[in-house]
Amino acid sequence: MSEAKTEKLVTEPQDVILHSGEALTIAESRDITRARETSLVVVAGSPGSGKTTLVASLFHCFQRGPFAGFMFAGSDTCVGLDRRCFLGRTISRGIAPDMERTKVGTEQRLIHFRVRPEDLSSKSKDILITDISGEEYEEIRHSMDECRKFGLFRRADHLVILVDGERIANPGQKHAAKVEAEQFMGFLSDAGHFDGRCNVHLLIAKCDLITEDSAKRFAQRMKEEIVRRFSDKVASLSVGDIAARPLRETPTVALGHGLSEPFVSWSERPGETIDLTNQLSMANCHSEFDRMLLRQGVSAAEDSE
Amino acid sequence: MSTKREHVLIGLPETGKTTFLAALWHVLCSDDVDAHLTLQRFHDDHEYLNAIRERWVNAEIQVRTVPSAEAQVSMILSGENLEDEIEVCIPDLSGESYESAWGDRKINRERSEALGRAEGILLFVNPDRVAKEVLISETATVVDELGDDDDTDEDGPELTEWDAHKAPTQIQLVDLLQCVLRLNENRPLRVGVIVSAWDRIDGEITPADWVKRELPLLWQFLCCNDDSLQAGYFGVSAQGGHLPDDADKLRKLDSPTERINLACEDGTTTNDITTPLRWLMMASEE
Repeated sequence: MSEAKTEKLVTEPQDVILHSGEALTIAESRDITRARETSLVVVAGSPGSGKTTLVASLFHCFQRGPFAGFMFAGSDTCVGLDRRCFLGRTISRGIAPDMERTKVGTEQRLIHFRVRPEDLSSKSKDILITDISGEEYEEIRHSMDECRKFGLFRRADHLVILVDGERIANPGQKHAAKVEAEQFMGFLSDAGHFDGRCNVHLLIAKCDLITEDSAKRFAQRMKEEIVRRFSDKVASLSVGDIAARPLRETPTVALGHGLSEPFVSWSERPGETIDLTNQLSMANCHSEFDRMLLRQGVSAAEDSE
Repeated sequence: MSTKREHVLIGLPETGKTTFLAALWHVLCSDDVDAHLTLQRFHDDHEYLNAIRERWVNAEIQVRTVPSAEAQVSMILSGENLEDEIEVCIPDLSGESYESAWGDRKINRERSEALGRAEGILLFVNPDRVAKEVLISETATVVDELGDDDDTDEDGPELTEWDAHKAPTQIQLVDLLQCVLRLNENRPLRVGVIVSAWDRIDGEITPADWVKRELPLLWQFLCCNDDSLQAGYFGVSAQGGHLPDDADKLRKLDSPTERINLACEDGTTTNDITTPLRWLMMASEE
């Protein structure tokens, strides 16, 4: 995902550079996570399964009005959100909603939502959502080393695993899609990422494409098997079907279909005031990513002394 | 000695800021309207205000305010329940400045300082220039119903690239307010939302309900941030018609102030165009 931060801004000496509004780096997210209770949501899935579409869809929904009982209270990443929404709009001149793929190897980026209950009964809550590229997903489910290195899973309050409904609807791909999801969850479990505080959401994306009864039954059995195998390994495990941005909106499958329940979970169960360097020490750093977080935490502590 | 207050008019291009200011200056100078605010005395250089007032009374289209022509105006005002004299400073910042703040993520230092000093904001929206998000999925059903077009290129037209300047209006406005809050160091602010060209709105609807219906993201943002942004909503027709088509009709009126119509949240209407500014100033007095 290209971000404006990589472009050189042409400015005059008398200009003030404003907050970029693009998706946040881990370091940039500290302003939010240090100050407020924040939920960290990590979205994983095979390439093209709809990870970025899920995030865009939330913003599409809020542009129409309150969503899932919450109102939009702001975002430090309005520009990043607008980018992610673009290919779903007619102004893109696309003939079908599309999404720019998250590029492998790019620095981890987080999208920010601040939401508040529609009845204003409590204060706003912050949600940070990040997705891992489809290619990283493939690496993680094939290699225990790669899986262990991915420190972000240990810090996630919510892990969303998307299964591509388009593959479930295809008899030639449905079994592979199921096996991949089970394998991914198995690796996360064996790598110790399910530490008892992670809430996992297994979502069949693009469910509007699953129209045959046999495919629907397959999807249902898949969800039941995963619940049976993994529900005792995580803090909570929910399963569901979503059509974040259906090809064609209908009264029964509207924009954001199926997203309400998981979104409520992300919003109503915020994490602790998390510092992403929390609980790290040099002894348990498994990757350069973790060491970078730890260094930031140390330098912040030194600054405050 | 006047107490100085700074209030800022903000909004994207062609949202009626200059027309509002021109009509406001006319009402303050002409004494035609029984207004909440009155001009205490002339002071300073009023060339810019007089120029835009003159174009307004003549029912001429205002020249678009470009960043290089921005003028900071000030007025010495008084009103009921206010301190004896208040000097109200209003930078008429061009809409392009705010477009640039969203699209290019930069703003002139002087303007940023003006926003940082602001004690109140009037946020202008022109219903005729609200860009909305239209999703492909919304239109696909319509295309299906219309049937296949044999002349349609199966590959479809070439995709365009993302352009920040084409973002939906409400996203830009929310981000703009967030920028203002940052520049203002999150001090509580009153925000008067001015829906301009109000005479072109059909049906019986309040300004607040119009914002809720047409700019729901902005509406939600203002509701949720009531601790830092206290919002008021006004529908304003400062022109009284559409220029240049209605120019002759408007010039024939006995008084230009007859062109002004302002709808308040409580459903009342008035031609006292000082009402939103007085609402901002009341917060400063509390």
